[in-house]
Amino acid sequence: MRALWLMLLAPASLAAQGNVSTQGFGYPTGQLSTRSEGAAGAFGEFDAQSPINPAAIASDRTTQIHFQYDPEFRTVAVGGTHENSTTSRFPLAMISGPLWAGGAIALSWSTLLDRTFQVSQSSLINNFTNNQRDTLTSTIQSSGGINDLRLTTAWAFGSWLAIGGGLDLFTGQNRLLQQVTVTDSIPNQYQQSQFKNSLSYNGVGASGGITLRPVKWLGLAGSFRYGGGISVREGDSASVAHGLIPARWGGGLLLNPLQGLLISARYDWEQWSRLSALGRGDLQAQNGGGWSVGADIEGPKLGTNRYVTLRVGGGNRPLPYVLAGTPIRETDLSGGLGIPLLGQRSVLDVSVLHADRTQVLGVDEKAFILSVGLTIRP
Amino acid sequence: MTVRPIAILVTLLGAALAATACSEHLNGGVACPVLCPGQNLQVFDTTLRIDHLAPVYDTTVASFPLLGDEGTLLLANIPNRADVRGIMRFDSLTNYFAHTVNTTTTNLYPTVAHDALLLFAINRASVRATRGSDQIQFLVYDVDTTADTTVSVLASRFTTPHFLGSSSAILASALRDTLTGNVLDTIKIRLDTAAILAKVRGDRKLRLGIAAFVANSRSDGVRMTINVSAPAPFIRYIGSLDSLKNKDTTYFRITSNLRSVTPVTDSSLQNRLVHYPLAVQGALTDAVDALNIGGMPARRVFLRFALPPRIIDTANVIRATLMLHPRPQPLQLPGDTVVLYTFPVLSSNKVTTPAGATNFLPTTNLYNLDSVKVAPSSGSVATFDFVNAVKNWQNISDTLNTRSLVLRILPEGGTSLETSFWSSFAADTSLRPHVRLQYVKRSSFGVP
Repeated sequence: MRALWLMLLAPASLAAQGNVSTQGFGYPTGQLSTRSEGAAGAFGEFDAQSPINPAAIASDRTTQIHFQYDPEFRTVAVGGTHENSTTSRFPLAMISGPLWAGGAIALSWSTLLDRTFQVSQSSLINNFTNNQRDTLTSTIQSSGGINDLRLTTAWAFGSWLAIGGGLDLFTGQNRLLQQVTVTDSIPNQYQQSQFKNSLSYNGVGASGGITLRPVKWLGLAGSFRYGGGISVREGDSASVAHGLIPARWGGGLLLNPLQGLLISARYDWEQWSRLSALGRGDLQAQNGGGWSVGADIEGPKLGTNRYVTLRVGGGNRPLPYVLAGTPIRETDLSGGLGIPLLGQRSVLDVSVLHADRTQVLGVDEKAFILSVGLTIRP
Repeated sequence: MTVRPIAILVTLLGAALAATACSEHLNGGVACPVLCPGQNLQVFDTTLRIDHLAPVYDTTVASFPLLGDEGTLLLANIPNRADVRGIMRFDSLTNYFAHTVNTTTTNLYPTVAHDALLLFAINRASVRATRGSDQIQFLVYDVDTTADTTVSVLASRFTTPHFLGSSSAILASALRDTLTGNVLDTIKIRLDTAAILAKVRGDRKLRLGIAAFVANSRSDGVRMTINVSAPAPFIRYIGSLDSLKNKDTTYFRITSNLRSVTPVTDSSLQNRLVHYPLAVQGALTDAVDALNIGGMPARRVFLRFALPPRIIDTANVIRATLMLHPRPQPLQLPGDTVVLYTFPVLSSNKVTTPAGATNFLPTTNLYNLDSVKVAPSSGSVATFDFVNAVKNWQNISDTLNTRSLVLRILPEGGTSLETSFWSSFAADTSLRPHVRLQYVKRSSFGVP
């Protein structure tokens, strides 16, 4: 037998994440409710439906179920070429209710990092029997991410202080597909190549937080997340890589200068580099803080004692990595509204966030993230 | 201000936008390669030459189908290339007719016969001749001997002393006309009545040898098949008890159908031998450096692959092509092409011989392996794509499902056409079979 290595067809350098926002282990959704997203995350430390500050659930001690849907409409521009894509996300679901003596409990499921993308590239290969060029399409696809399953309890001590804590279980999977398809005019000449892989994550953490309301028009909040260990297993292999869940701390300020007007500011810092040990590539992680400011305004009246809430906000936050020496950040502008439905028994929140990510290597990426959240108080 | 309509409108708008987003469209790639680092996806292209049975065991296997199982009866007369004649057995000639007077039926045994005929239909689509103007004629001989199927003995009977009759000359273009519905495709050959009557009154065993040839140009060739079912060939004669001279007007048309009564020890063979081809000059002589397909009797090529496990078991093959270099054959008839079919072998390694394995073929095109049309006289490399078979072989042990293919023609025994390729024993190594594989290697991917 003689093997002739005739040629090595490299249709292109292909793979992984063909955009700025889903590099590394994925895009940090922020773990924010639709309501918080409407103000660019500024209310995250005070919002009972955002699994950020465990103490916040004590501020709304009704039994409630919240879930939301956040599709992202992304545009990536390279030179004069624009490419649009849509990613569907269900980043948050939560059920919460009251406990005795001012207490509250919540079970939440939220996406810490979403790694959903698909990259396709086409090239031409020589069909040696037909003397023609056939189109070869290579596709890399990933879906899933690392999720945060958290059990939270909090107690309110009077109207001015609440303290909470939570236990976090980080779990999830990246389902990966590598596919090669050749399109030609003659059937049965080519077969599709498909390789599947999966990355399974398991980790733990803990969270704590506090909210203060020293005076009626002022609120203060602070929270942290302690990151425990996280492991990743590739497929059904025995080898496991170990890393650490990113630590996080943040604080917020809430002002209520007028009836029906809330203004908030928030700072949040995350230690993404603790995930580096899980990876194999040379992607550089970055730690850093982001800020946001926003307002929540009581809008037009909707029936008796019900108001449409209008929200607006803006901010800037880091994404977890550095690309080509450039720290990647995202500048957000958002707006939204909350509509009470069925009396006060449910609320439909809708927000739209415009994300402008750092331009790097000539790639300019912008996205609109629509968020639709429904809160039901049975 | 009450804004119920606005709220409803916003709600509906949000729902509509969300619904739109439900149709996820992830595809991207414009930012590659700059933002797609580290995971190069490469298509490898490897050509393996097959030397002395490795990685492919290649051999010619004969003969297919079993004699008499052809489904048609081939006649071919192509000077210096093919001489295939037909044998038809009428081993129980009908020697009586039922005569009813009033309500009484009596079997009458004719003593006089006239207008003895052999009638058969040809498959018009199978008719090939050197020229459309060729005049085709059929000759019929008595080939009844004790030697059942011995070619040399039977061939020697196609001589004048055994001549029974011939057809008129028929224009090849008319025989071949498959478009005009009213063109006659039934051939009627007037037989020697005295000889037939002697058979009828004797051992009732009539065995006919039939040959076709071009009457107006002996250098031209002809090839066709006779229908052996619906309608099957039959013998007919007019029988009566006495000659018309004695004023006996009781006569009947008596027909006899194909039947074989020998060999008595093998009923299966006995049934098959009601009609069979007599390959006086048939297939090419097999040689170790040749892979022969088709011909009369038909051969198959068996290929058992032992391709590198690093490719077959761990990579994804996107294209697999077997390339066979032809041994061009002299042209039989102008425009001759033969379609070669690739069949997977569905057997475990318990079947140890190629001859045995070539019988384990699916009845359907199980793996969607395409056929390849080749001109036997052509010098072009024939390529057979078998990636669909490779896909089915992957992850299944070679002991359970041998990685084997068979190249054959359809229908076997229905044509004298054959094609020949160089085998892995060809002295010129560049002419040996090659297998070209294009594949994508499995890689650990997805870990950032």
